[in-house]
Formats: sequence, structure tokens, C-alpha cells
Amino acid sequence: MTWISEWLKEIIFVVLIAVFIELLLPNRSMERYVRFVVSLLILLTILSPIIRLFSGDTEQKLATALADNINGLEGYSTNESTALILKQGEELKKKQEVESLQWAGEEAARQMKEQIQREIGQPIERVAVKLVTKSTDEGKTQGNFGSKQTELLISSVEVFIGQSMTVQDPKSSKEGISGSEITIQSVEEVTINVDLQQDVPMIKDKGEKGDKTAMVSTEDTPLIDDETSVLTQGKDEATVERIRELLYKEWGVSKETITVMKRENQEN
Amino acid sequence: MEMIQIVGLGLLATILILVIKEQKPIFAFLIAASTGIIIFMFLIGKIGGIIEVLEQLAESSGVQMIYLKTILKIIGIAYIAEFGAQIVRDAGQESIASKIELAGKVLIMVLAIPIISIIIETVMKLLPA
Repeated sequence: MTWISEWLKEIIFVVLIAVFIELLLPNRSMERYVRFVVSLLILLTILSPIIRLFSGDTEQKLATALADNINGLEGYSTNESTALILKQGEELKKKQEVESLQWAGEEAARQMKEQIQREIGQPIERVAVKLVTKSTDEGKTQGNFGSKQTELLISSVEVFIGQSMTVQDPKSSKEGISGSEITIQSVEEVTINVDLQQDVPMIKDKGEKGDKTAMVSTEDTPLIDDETSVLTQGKDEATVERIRELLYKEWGVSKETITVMKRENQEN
Repeated sequence: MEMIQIVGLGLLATILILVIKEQKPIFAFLIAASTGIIIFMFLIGKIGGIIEVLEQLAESSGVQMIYLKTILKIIGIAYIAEFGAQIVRDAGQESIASKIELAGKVLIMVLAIPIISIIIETVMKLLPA
């Protein structure tokens, strides 16, 4: 039923506008012509449901036909539409970039996880990698659109180590992860922050298992180091050092900015 | 107040033209044309306000903007053609004035062509072939 009210509203307003315009007209000699065109418009409005029934894209056609007329007289609407298309393209590009960044981050996290697991022999709960793009200087000097040179940087790596850093044999640690044995689970977080420029937009990559509560991101490196030294035993520190070493070797993440965090909390 | 201004300007121009017409008819024409332009300038702001209101109305009621644009274009063509034709007619060139009017009419008709074609198309589809 709404379309009837829409339709009636349209008719009423077109007639109103037509009457108004006719009042504005300068004098008699043009009036017949103006009245003719305006009456055609009113007819079109009245017929619009039927027209829509028979050919869907009439409004578009009319718009383009009239826009062609407008262009012939003024020529502004093509510029407008070109700008619109360019804007849409730019948005699409940004979206694609974000998607590919996310994908790359996930992939890198997966590989890191495998590597660390292989190296250390302990289950890793998850690895989260944040990637950012840094636009280089030449990109700024070049044109506005397209050809912007970007450089991929790993902004931070968070490694969440599963249970049992202190448990010696790997079998029991696996059991701890699977949860068949009642053990106190400790989650160790290794956060690796690479220093960044402030103006670079950060793209946050969700970890594989989506554990939001366990994510702790801090900028303050030495404080966390202290905390780590307080909280970790010697063995843990050795493991952490190995992880750092591995990440440095394999991924080129500089070691000074690697932050190791350990939180001992109980997980159910 | 504006009305008084405009009427005063018109009276002034008319008297000036009456005085000057015997000696220099060309200046009389110039005064007439410039008076017309000045009065039109007075009105342009008001017309802009009216058009703005109409646009808001059309937007709120969901009428397609292309209709309103077409109507406004028609009225602009009519105004400008009238204006030019009258000035030329005042100068005594009746034939040129009528050509200007013809041009205005043709341009208005050109605007009507897409609408007519769509209506005719629909009617042809409605009728059995």
C-alpha cells in the first residue's frame, strides 16, 4: 500500500511545482510551450507505475537523456561522475589493501606458529601478527591516485604460549592443552613491538583463535621486561630467549624491540 | 521597500529615456537595457531562495530531482529568451526579437523530447502489436 501513497505524493508535488513555475513565468508567449512540457512531466509521473511495470530502467534512461542535454548546455555532470568513479575506485583499493594485509598477517602468524612449535617443541596457543603499510617518501611525491609505493612492516608479534613451561616432558604438556588432565594453565604472552611512525594507520590482525581477552598490548618495553623477570623462572626465560632468537633469525624482527610478557593466570 | 526601489528605478529610467530619446536614441536603448539588467539582478537572490525551497520540497517528497531540474531549466530558458527578445524589440528590431523567441521555444521543445519518447514507448508497449 505504501507505493500508492508514494505515487500520490509524487503527483501532488509535481503539480504543485508546475503551478509555482507557471506563476514565475515572464509572460504569455512562452506559456504554451512551458505548459506543454510541464504537462508531459505530470503525465509521466501519473504513468510512472505502469512505466515501471513495463520497463524498469526508465528513470535511469530519462536521467541520462536529460543529463546529455544538460551536458550540451553546461557540461559539468561528467566531471562529477568521473570524480565519483575515481572515489569509488580509491575506496575499493583501500578495502583490498586491508584484506590483503589481514591475509598476509594471518599467513605470517601461521608460519611463525609452526616454526616456534618445531623449534621449541611446546604447543603454542596462538600467534597474532600485526602488519602495517608504510608509504614511502616517493609515494608522496608522486601523484595522488594509484602508484603509491608502500612497504610492509611487522608492527608487533604476539606469541601466546600454551600451558606448562615448567613441565619437563612434552607428553604431559600436550595433555595439559587438551585439557584431559587437571593442571593449572599458565598463559605466557610474548609481545614483540617494532617501533613505528605515528601517522601510519594500524591494521589489527585478529589471531587465529580470536582470544581477545588474552591480548595485552603495551608500549612500555622495559617495564614489561621487569615483570617478566619477576614472573618467569629461568627455564621460561631461556625459552623466551629462544623464541626471540628464532623470530629474529627467521623474520628479521629486531630484538631490542621484542617485548616478552608473561602473565600467570589460571584458565579453566 | 525593495518594491519601491525597483519602481523608483524604473520611473527614473523611463523619464531619462523620454528626455534623451530625441537627441541620442542609442543612449536611450542602453539605459533601457541596463535598467532591465539591474532589476533582474535585484530579483536573482529572491529567485534563488524560491528555487532552494522547491528543491527541499522535492527532496523531502521523493520526487526525482531530474523532474525539478527539467522544470527549472525550462523556466530559465523562458526567462532569458523573454529578456533578450524584449530588449531587442525595444530597440525596434522586431524580426530579431521573434527569432530569439523561436530559439527559446525550440530549446524548450528539445528538453521535452526524452519525456515524449518515454511516454510514446510506454504507450506502444501497452498496445498489443
